[in-house]
Amino acid sequence: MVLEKLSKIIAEQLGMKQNEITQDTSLKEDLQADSLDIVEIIMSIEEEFDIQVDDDDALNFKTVGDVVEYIEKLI
Amino acid sequence: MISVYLIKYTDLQQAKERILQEYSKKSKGKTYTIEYLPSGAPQLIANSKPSGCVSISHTDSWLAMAFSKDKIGIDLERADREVSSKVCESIEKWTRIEAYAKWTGLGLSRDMLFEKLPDDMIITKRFAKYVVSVCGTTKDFQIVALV
Repeated sequence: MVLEKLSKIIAEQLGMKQNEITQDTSLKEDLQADSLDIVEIIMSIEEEFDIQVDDDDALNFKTVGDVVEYIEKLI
Repeated sequence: MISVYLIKYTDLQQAKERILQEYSKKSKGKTYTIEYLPSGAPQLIANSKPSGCVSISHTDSWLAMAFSKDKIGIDLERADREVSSKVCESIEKWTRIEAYAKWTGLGLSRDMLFEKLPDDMIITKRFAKYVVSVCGTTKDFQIVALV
């Protein structure tokens, strides 16, 4: 469920197909998201899941799976 | 003096090297390279030592590199890029925030989205379909477009 909502957020921000995004998708190499994309995605995550993402934690996100795991711990 | 070099590229690494070569020509025999710090920030190197400052931004096959003796930050974006109001009010404002974040060397933090920017240190210009902001303490500014 988290992956589905997260992949929808990412897909909308980056203009991709939702099914192209999996747990193993790497944020930098596969998605080529820049700083603005990342900020937009993080803010959307915070709205969608009603959580606060710590800036320092966000620096450690390497894959979509890392983000799913992080969100699941907070919800 | 802040020097901003712009080049359209197909190969990003080659484009960076081309700009470094052009900048080296103006710099009395120094040959510049770039190394990356653990933070991801670029460090300008000449004769194996840090030598001046550089900031890099690229979008849409355009590469911008800003050089200065002192700390420098640059951000280049398409002028028609959408930015949601929860992030900031305009893409121009975003480039100013990013340029400032790069100037600090610490990267973007959430606080920077809301705190007052040092507007007297940031120059924002539009060219073609793009907007570029440069943050630095030096007032002299030149843009060099390479073909």
